[in-house]
Amino acid sequence: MIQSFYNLLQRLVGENVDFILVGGFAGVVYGSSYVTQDIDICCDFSVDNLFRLYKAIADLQPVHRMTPRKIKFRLTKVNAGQFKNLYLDTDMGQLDCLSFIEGVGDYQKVKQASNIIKFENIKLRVLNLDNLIKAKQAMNRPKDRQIAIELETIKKC
Amino acid sequence: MKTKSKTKTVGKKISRKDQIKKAKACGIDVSALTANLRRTPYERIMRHQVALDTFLMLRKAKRI
Repeated sequence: MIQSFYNLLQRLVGENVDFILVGGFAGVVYGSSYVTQDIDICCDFSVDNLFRLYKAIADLQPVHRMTPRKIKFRLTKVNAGQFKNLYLDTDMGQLDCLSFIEGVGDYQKVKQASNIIKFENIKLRVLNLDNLIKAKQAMNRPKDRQIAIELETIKKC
Repeated sequence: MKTKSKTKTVGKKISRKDQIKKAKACGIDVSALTANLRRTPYERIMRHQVALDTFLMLRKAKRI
């Protein structure tokens, strides 16, 4: 299967998953020139939403990529309420699902700080540029500081 | 009669020119950014995919 972040996002939108695009890939949407290897989303970790997420990616061989043996991601009624974050690898690329964004807040706060952006055939919620900069600054890793400077420059251009 | 000072401490705002200077000093390719800003978000995503695919292909490549 061809890895394509756009197709992965299409799937999430198609299954009505409540999420906001954050992280480096949101930066790409605003014009960042950095290449990122994963998609970061902030999502509602309610059981219903997690099942929609699971349905969207179940056939993409999702695994917990932070586990040494790359344990398969299986969602059940028992474990659905136990996750705070999910770091997944799928046939269409890495997908990190986060319940909290440093510098912005929880899902509701992130949603309030988002814009809806229309692409070719989908509409996506994307963390707005000001809050994306805040999130990058809050991470305070050299890579994130560099991206924050780039995003600040985009804002001024 | 003394009057209160109306001077406010305002957060340091950086001009566009200074921001671009700062970005260049950090090694950011500002021309790549301005070129990206002329594209639609969808075009930016598609170009990113091409760059990522190339990166992954090169990472997998073996020395012969």
